[in-house]
Amino acid sequence: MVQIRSIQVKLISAILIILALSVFLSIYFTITNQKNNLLDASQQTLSMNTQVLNHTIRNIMLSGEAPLANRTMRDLREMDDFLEYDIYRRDGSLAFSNYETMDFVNNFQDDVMFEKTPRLDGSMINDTGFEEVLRFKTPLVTLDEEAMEMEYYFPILNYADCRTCHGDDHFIRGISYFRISLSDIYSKLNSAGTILTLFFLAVGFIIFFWMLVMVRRIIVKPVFSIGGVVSRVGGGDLDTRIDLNQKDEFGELAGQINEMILGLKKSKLLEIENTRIEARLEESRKYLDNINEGLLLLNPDFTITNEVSSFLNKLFEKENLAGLHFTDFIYGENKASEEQKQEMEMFLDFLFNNKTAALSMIMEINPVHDMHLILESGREIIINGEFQRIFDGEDVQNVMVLFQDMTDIVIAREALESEKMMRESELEQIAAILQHGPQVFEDFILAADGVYNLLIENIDNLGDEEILARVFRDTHSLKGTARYLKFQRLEKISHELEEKFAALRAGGDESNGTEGAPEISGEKELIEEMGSEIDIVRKIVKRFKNFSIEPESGDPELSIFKTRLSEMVSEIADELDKKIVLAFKSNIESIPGLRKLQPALFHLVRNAADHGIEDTFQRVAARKEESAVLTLSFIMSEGELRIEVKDDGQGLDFSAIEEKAVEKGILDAGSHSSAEILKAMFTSGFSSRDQVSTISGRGVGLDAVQADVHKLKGKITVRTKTGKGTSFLITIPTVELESTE
Amino acid sequence: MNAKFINPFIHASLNLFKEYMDVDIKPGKPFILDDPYDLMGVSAIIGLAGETTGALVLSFSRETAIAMVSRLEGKTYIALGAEILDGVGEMINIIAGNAKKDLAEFRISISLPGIITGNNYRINWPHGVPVISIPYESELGSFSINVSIKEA
Repeated sequence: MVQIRSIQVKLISAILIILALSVFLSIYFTITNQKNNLLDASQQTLSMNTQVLNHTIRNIMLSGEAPLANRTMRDLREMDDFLEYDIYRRDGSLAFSNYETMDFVNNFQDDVMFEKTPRLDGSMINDTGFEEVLRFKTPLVTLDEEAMEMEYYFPILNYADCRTCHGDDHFIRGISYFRISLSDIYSKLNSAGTILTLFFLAVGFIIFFWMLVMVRRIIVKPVFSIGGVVSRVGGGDLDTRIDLNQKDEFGELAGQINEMILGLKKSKLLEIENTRIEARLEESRKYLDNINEGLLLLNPDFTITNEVSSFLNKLFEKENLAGLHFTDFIYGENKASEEQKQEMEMFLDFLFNNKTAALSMIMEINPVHDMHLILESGREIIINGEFQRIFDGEDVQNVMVLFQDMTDIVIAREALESEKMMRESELEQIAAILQHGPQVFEDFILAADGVYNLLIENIDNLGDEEILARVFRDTHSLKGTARYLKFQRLEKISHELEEKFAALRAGGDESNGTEGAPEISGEKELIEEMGSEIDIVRKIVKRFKNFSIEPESGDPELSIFKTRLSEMVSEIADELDKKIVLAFKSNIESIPGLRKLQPALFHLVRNAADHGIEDTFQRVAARKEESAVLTLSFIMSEGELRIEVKDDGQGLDFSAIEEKAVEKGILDAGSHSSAEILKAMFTSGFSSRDQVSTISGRGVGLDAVQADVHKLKGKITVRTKTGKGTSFLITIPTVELESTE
Repeated sequence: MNAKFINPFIHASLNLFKEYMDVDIKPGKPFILDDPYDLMGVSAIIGLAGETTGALVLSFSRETAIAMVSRLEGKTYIALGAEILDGVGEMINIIAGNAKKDLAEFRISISLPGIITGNNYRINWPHGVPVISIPYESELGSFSINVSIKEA
């Protein structure tokens, strides 16, 4: 800042000096010029005046009127500026001071030409100017600046006309001497000088200030702003710019400095970037060497980069993975099909190049999922690969693959699963026994033992049709009971055995020996498994017998029935997003012949839950309660048992039933009455199952329900109202139920 | 009004709130929306087409919308501005995307979700089908999931 100021000072002083000089020079020059001109002019005037005077006096003298001349001279003397006006004779005496000249002239002319008139008082003149003019006979002007006077010596020559009177022996008669006051002129000069001085000073000041402003604007301000920015840059601020809009050298300079700042900034940023990148590289190398996960980075050409974690090298038992093509790396020694390799390539291609699909969708085709690989050493590993895209702006620069060694996890998982299943099954059995008492289970164990023994005895005789049929029937019923009692494993084993037996039955006609052999071994194992399962159940039951827990009051069979039914309804409700409340009503403690009715009742309840009742949203849309109510009521009165399965669902859809009946060939095309349609519903073949599952039986439909009811000499009726619900009513004479058939 | 079409959205919504945004949600009893104007400050609409047509509307009160988006983005908003609408749009996108997976087995296509806000707007629900509204209470305020669909 100080520097800038001193430049200002320098400039100001320079300008000031120059201006002052010029002003003064101008003043001096002008004034001097003026003065000289004025003086010259006045001198001219004076000389002319003198000449005029001279001529006048001479002429007056010539006409002999010396007194007139005197008088004229006297008058002239009275003028302001004429300080002195005298004529002196050549001997220095004042003219007309005595009669000398007159006497001479009179003598010369021999006549009294001139009368005597009064004389002037005069004195001699004695100065150098006089002498000079006398000698050189030319006028002389002297200027006395101090006294502000001008002296004018004008020789009066002895002209021819004068000679006639004055004689001709001299050239010069006398000298006219004028002394003029120049004070007027000088005062005029002074005032002019003052005015000029003021004028020039004013102009000078104006110019000075104007120059000051211009200098400030053109030079000082830019220098300030440039300086400011430069000092800021020096302080580290690379974001400042010089804001100068001059289109001159300063503007250029500013532009160049701005560019320089930009360049500095860029190079600084680059420097920072570089150090950051280096630090990061170091860190990532450390990271790669220390993490406990398999990690590698892929190039867009699907080859592996240098960034591979040490863990990965260990996991795959391979070093020097850089440069390897990913597909070769994964599938290298493994017998992978061309198709698998192509899948991998396509997946990688999607990862790198497909910009439209969401990552989650691409991950759906990730082949590295629970992938089994056999390494060079023969070891088998199971790996999961997670793929992550690394972007550079819009493009995928690299793909990072994170490998997880799932081998141990998978093995553990599987072991855990089977453990869990076993435990769950055990828990269920325990819970059931706690709930219903061990008696029911003891009965079951008896029955199961029976079946088991039968199987063991007849394992080699399965070629016999009758035995095979019996074995099949018993296994089937064991399966049903096992399911009923929630012995899942037993149920599963029974089902598998049943399948084998069914297959044997089907293909038994052709192969009666050799074909059967491989089958038998599979069955043997199953039968053995069954045996061990039964043992487990037996053990549990035995332990509980020691507890002597009181079974639930009331009929245990009924309570089991209720529980199983509730469970089935909950299952269906959960599966189909329905809310169903199962309500039991009965006016008796235990239901006789419940066992005989059980399948039919289950079927009716299942139907109601499955088809009759709508899902929560449909119910709300129909302005019903979200929760449907399924009521199962047992009313014993007047020697018959009335069982009702009622739901508040959507009622029977007659048109749908009609359509299905027509489809199954039970009804012919056309419209039918509701009675006909209902009858069709109860016809065998209406609901046939194409697939056999462990849940449903084989082709149990309403026809079977009706058959069961009729077997007990009972009746079954249906009441339904669209949108309101359906109700199945079964009436059975008590006597039939109580028989132990 | 089949639950199998509606439930994927319900599950996706609850998943978003509970798992992703850590917001406690309590469903109320579903009922029929008699008043078509009875929708709250900010609504996000997903249209359904295909095996079934209709619309699913997630409706928030102004305050709930602001609180939800604030929770979603980890910022604090106080006014209903473009960011809130964008945030609600985000949420509904996530829900729609998640629900799509479960609907893959049916031939249903979902429209791009739209957001409306205002004091008095009415959705053009399909004709002849009731609109079921399921109210929810959460720590961030109340909202409802409204659905009306019919078989095509």
